[in-house]
Amino acid sequence: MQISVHKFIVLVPLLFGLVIILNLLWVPFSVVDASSPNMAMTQNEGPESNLKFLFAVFFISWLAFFAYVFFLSRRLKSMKQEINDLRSNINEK
Amino acid sequence: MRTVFLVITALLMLVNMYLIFMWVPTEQNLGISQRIFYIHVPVAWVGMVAIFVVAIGSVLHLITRNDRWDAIAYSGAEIGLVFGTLMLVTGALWAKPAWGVWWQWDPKLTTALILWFIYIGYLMVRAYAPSGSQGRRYASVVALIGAIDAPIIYMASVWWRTAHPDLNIGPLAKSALDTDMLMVWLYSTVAFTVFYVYLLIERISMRKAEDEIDEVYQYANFSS
Repeated sequence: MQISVHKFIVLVPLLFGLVIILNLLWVPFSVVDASSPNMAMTQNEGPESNLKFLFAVFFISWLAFFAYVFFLSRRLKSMKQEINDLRSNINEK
Repeated sequence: MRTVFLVITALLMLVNMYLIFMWVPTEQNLGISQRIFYIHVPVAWVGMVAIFVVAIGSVLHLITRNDRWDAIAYSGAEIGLVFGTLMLVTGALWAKPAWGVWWQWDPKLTTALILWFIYIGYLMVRAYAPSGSQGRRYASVVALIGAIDAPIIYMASVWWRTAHPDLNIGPLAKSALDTDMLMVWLYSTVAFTVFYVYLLIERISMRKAEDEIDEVYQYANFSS
């Protein structure tokens, strides 16, 4: 059980990283300074123009934190079950 | 005690959300997307501090052979990976509206990506290296490399020309933040640090229980 949990911990972010790296292959890597055309576009469209990015940051961050806490609570539950099984095995002996 | 810690963390985070969305003024140039700063920078801060926790825990475990330090190191790495991943994701989501690209191979971003791979490497070594002290020794070397990388990330914008803005907090700051923005940033950093400590306490207690179960299984195998 513990090995599969370790594999999960390692493989999920690893796959996530691979997806990011594959995406990066299509992204232009030029250095952009604060006076880039995109920056000017942001100013012209008003302060609320990038609300979707702010929303995405908060949504993803809290989703990740809740997912991790959920993952911990599930692991705790399985450990309690394991301890109960061990106790009953010891009592039988 | 842990419940009290959880309630304090939740209250700190609620106030943090209020400050970020309702209280702090909107930055003129970047607009509303600048509010990502109050999440991205504290998350990155925790991601970098966490690798020091892992390195210190690993070294102290090697010196004292006390499993408590190993539990701190392992738990710190797991939570550090969560924060490190969010550091990269929130950074990309801020880079797009600010720079027009999701990513660029600038020194700060590249060294941050290296830190993320170091977390992955640490957990992979712990998962697949021989169990016992050998695996822990190998992993502590990985953690020490990570501890060297973290200050490089911080200093990258001083040492190299990067797309990241200059440091505006700390002794090497070249420009000063607005007072309201600085206060919210400091508050958010404290809130996320407390959240990290809460997660660390929870994970350490769980790690100890995992070790105890493993010991029972080993004892049972020897007995049978």
